[in-house]
Amino acid sequence: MRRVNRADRPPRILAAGVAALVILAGAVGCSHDKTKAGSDPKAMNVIAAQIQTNLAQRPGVVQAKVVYQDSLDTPGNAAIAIGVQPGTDLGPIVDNALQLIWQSPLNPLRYIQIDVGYDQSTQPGISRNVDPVKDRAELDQKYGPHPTR
Amino acid sequence: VSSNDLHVTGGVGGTDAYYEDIATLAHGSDNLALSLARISAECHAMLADPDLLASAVLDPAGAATFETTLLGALDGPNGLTALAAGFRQRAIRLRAVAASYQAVDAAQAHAIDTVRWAAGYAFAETMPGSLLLLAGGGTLLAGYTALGGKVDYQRLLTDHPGIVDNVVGAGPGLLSGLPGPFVSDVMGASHLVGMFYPDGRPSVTSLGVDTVANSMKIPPTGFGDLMAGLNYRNGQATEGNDQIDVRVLTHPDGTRSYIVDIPGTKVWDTPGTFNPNLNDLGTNVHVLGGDMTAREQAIAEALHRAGASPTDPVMLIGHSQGGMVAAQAAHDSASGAFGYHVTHVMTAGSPIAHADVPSNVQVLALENSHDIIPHLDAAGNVDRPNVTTVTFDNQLGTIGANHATGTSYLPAAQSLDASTDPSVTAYRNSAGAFLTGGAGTSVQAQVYQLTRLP
Repeated sequence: MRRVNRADRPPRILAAGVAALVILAGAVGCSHDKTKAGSDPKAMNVIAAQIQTNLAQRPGVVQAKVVYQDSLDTPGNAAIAIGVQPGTDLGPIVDNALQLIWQSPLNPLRYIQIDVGYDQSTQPGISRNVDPVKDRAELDQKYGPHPTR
Repeated sequence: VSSNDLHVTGGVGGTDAYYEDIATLAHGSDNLALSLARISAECHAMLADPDLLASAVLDPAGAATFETTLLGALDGPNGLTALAAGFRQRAIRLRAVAASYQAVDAAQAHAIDTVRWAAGYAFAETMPGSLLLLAGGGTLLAGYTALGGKVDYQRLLTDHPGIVDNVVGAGPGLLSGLPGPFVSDVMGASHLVGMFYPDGRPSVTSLGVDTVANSMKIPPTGFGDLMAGLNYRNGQATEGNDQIDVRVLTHPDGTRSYIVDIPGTKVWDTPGTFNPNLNDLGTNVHVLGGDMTAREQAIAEALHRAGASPTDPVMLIGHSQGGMVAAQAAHDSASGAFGYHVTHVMTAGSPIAHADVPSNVQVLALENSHDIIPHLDAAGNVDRPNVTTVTFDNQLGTIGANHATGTSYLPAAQSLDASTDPSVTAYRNSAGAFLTGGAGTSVQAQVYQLTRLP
């Protein structure tokens, strides 16, 4: 049996490359939940921007930011941060933000973070985290079903 | 997740601390043996004391009785000399017990690493046959799913995250079986792969003070508050917008402490090209290889801009890659390469087993047992008095949800606040500069955007 020198095995590099790509593709494939419709990042960003504009136009709102992302580290995550003028009633703004997110076609939706606070003030605001899987029945009842496209 | 579901290893109540206790006991036994031997020697000298010998002339019988009694007390079966020897032997036994425990632990870890390495090497050596076998398996699975069969890969992996340890652990052997350099471990393999990810230079842009979220303006009182800040920042940081924040705590006496929130990976890029995002796969590979990364340098720059001095206490909190960078920064703080006084690190879902964190830095690592990401270093966290690992069981069905700060790690950190485990309590007590209870302490969160320059 002939012992082949390592240096004489260039096809193995190719094979290793293929193996690495297979593993990488598998890992990346596993890292994204594409089982739900509507995970086109550009489309999701447009929807998030529309919600942001809507929230920014509310009376008392000084700044609004809506960030949606769907990655391994932050799957199906909608983060809403709103700064308001002192004296503004925070509760209705939180409720409105949650309603807009829930009724939007943002998908997949796995976690919603809503932070509403008084702009340039140390006065506490409201931070609310919503788990759409656990709280689905409550959200459906309050705002109707979440569109899955 | 309730506090009862949390499993704590390491820290002051951990196995290594127990070994240290044994070593301390051995040291105590040694000291006692030494003292007893010294007393015995002094008493032996007393037997030959000229005054004693002179007095024997006056009372020979009394002197003989005294000498016999003292000799018995010194050299008898239960005498001081025997007692000293006994304590000395006990010290040796205790040291032997501790050493053998540690040797067995190390040997077991080494054996596992070796088996994984050999499997990877065998795979490379038997190519293309092994590759065909792998492809055959893949084809069978594809056929099964094509016929309507269902395989939930995410569920499979998250139920058995040890698969990830085995695959990653085989990587160094696989590389070594190919033409090119020999790599003996995961760190070496990562270092090698890191050569294909140019790390570049850091650039830091100040985004101002965040006054919106409660976690950014209310002093943290517990683990839940700390994680809430990281969770909030993780929601703001995206691909193309690597954000960190520095929570500056100003205490009533005017002193300051700093908490840095470091989100995880947002960009999964392929090797060989320059990527301006510091929160990319390249940083993961570099930091897993033990390198000081551009992202770590950017964090140092952010601390500088936030006003931190080299002696102010700093806590680094990181999710996933953020935790890896935090642990590496803690390591580099010992050598001065990271020029800030890192006293505490808190990680969420980070593979930090290979990070050699100095003993004066307290580490609290949270790991969901169904999160595969902490397994990407193919090793469990070291059990050391300054490294406490809290594992919890929260199977949410997907890799992402099990790994996410919001669905997985924030609830766990909130539950941890109720824990009375000795290691958790010791960490909490040591973190007084950051968990102030809010009495007179103010917080200002400075936000920074990090990018990579060529």
